[in-house]
Amino acid sequence: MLDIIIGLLMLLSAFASLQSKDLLKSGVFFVVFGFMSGLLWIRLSAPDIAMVEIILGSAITSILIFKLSRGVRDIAMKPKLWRRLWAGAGSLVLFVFLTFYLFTVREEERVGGLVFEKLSLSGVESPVTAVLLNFRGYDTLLEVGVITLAVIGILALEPKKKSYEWNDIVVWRFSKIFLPVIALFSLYITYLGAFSVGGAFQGGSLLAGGLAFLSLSGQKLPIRENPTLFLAMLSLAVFVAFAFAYALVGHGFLTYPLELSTLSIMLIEISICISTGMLLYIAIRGRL
Amino acid sequence: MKELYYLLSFLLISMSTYYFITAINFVKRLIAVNILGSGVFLFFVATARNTPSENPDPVPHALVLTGIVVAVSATAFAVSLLLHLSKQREEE
Repeated sequence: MLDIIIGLLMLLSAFASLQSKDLLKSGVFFVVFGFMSGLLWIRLSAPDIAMVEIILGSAITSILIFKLSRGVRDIAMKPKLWRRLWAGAGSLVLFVFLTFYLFTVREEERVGGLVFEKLSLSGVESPVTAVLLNFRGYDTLLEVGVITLAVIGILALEPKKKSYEWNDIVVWRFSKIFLPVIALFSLYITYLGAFSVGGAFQGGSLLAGGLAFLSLSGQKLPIRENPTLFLAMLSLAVFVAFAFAYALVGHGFLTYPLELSTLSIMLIEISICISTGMLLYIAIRGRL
Repeated sequence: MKELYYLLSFLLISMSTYYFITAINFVKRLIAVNILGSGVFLFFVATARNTPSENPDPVPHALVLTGIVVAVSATAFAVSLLLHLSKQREEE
């Protein structure tokens, strides 16, 4: 019953966000949508995803969208009737085809059983962290590469002078007090990822949320440009270094030896946490 | 009951596809792509729950975690591109 209410609220907020004429309104409804989907992830027993969704999917995406709706004046295009009809028919057909899936779906044993079977070999106790950093390490390595590339693209594109300026003394005081606490807590969550709910991306997105507060106050971190970039690129370097080091020793690319696996995963996770925070901080600020 | 999650994800996917094609503003399109992504993630997580065993499957969870982070970085890059585009149009 609760799930049905959350689902209906998700649908309504998505519709309101897409339908409203005012960009500010649709941004606010998008925050509601992200929050509701976070609640639904918890109901679907996926608390790891819920943490990332609420911080990244709703909060930080909305900050980015607000930044866009302030900076962009006139990029609207004229809608045409045939285009609307074509799109409506297409999405209706898409929906009908997708609902055919419901007739074939059934409960079956999936690849998850294999993960729980081999969990003792991975070096961590949490199955999601084991999949992310050990069994499917390639995916995570490439994911870190994708975020780094996106930020390099942003740094290349941003104009020299700023088109927008945030300035708020209350937010500045708030972030001055809470940023150290948030940073410490994000490292704790990263550490916790080895045993239960938590992990590198959860910790990193929490750190990014704290740094987003700092950006919104108009201030910046008291470190120079090069160390910030260094911290942002740290995780890719650490990840690749570990992968190649074990390959050279003879274990294979991204194959940790059993006795060192917990330590390697911990070090990689902490570097991912710091880098994700820094990369998203640069992404929100636009430039250093 | 489990079918409802799938139905919700299909509704989100098809609705945001329509708005992605017809929206008159690029910001709306960006929001539509994000909602489409959420629909796909919901499909994955619903699949992860659809097992006879007690624990949900961790592999789709890890994939969705990766997907959300990549979606946010792609959104950030898209925001930069659109700001750049609008600046260029102002200069013309």
